[in-house]
Amino acid sequence: MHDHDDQKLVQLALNGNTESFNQLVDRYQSRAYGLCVRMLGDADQAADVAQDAFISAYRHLPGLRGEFRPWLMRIVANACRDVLRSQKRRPSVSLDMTTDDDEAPALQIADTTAGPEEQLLRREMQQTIATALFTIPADQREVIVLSDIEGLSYQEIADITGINIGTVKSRLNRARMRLRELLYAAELLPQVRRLTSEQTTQGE
Amino acid sequence: MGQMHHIREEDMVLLTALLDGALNPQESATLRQRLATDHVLHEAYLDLELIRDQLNHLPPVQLPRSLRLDDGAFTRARGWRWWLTLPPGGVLTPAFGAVASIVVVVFFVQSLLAQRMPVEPMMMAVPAAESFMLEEAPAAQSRMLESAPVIESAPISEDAPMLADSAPASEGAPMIADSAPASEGAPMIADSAPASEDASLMAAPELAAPAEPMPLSDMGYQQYGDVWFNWAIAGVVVSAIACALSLRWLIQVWWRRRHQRS
Repeated sequence: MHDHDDQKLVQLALNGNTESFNQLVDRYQSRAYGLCVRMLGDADQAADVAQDAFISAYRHLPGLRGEFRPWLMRIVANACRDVLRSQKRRPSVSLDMTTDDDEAPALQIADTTAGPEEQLLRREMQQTIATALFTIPADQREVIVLSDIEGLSYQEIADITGINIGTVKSRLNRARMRLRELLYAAELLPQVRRLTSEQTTQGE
Repeated sequence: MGQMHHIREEDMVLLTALLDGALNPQESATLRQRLATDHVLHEAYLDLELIRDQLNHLPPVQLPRSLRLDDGAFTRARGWRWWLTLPPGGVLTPAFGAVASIVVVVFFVQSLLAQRMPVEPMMMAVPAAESFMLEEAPAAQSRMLESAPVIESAPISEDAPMLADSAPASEGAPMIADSAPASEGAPMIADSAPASEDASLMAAPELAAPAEPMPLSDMGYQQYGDVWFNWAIAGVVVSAIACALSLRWLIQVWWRRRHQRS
């Protein structure tokens, strides 16, 4: 249904209706920005890159084949990759997502049933994960963000990133292994697991 | 404090696949049996599950501003190609093609009319005095006249004393064109030698006058025709480009409609 609406809006946008395209922007801007901010780590830069991706999408709208959403996410992912590539050439570190306390609300725990200690631990773990995400290679980060944060399937990730499913699986596996190592190094994972298992036992 | 147990990479691949539901039922059942007995494997699975859940429950990031595009962004995004290949540019492209075709037709008709315009009025308008210049013309200029197209094509009778193109020529009268069957003794303008004594151009300058500007006017017509021909070629090129763009537009429309139907 959503895709059907997308097709209608795309058709209207192709006929010159700019408001239709802005409706698509409204629909997908959070998702696009989310991917950018997880990939780049800089909130302002992520917003700029996401908007540029929408402009690029509008420019290349005539070439759209298939569904709009994966096609848009591919453009966004490519834009992020371009930025990361240019940053590699001219390194600059952004700590927006890692150390800025203003970002803390974005990392709050959704689970309100957990105890104070577990909440604290989970919050710390989420912050560590958010930090650790930027320590793993960009290609692995892209895949784990698309899979575990955006909730896309292997096939969708393969379409967006332009790699085969086998590569998606191996990158995802390496990314998760790396995160596990980092969380063990921060001594968070066993504590959270212990608390979770204790809570499960008490519940039973 | 817990110690991380390292497990084999292939086992991690299997655990990841199990976590994402990417294993077939048989492989899944086998792995679950192993998880029930292998404590290290089970621990790793729980870790992966926890990490994925944490990632999955990261709250959505707050947009610092709306990413909607303003008019300026749309204009920049369109670029110039938009107006040639797409609606509303798709309306422009066929119109451009039609205008180019009309221009080509106009050029063609005009060049055709220019080629068929009569020569006589311009020739007759040349003043008689100019004809005397031909008398002093050097031999090289006379050779040009020799190679000039024949104006007088009508057969000339032996008795007709005239120089006009339609009148019959008489014996001894000067001839304009050397290709015409002239009688013996008749002097030729094309000849570099002076006219014969019995009938020279000096004797009848008013008769020789109309014939002299012919080559010049002919060259003028050729140049006039060349200009229109160049315009016509340019028009054909523009028209071909417009037709190609129109064709591309039609293919795009057809392809999109076909895709929508499927």
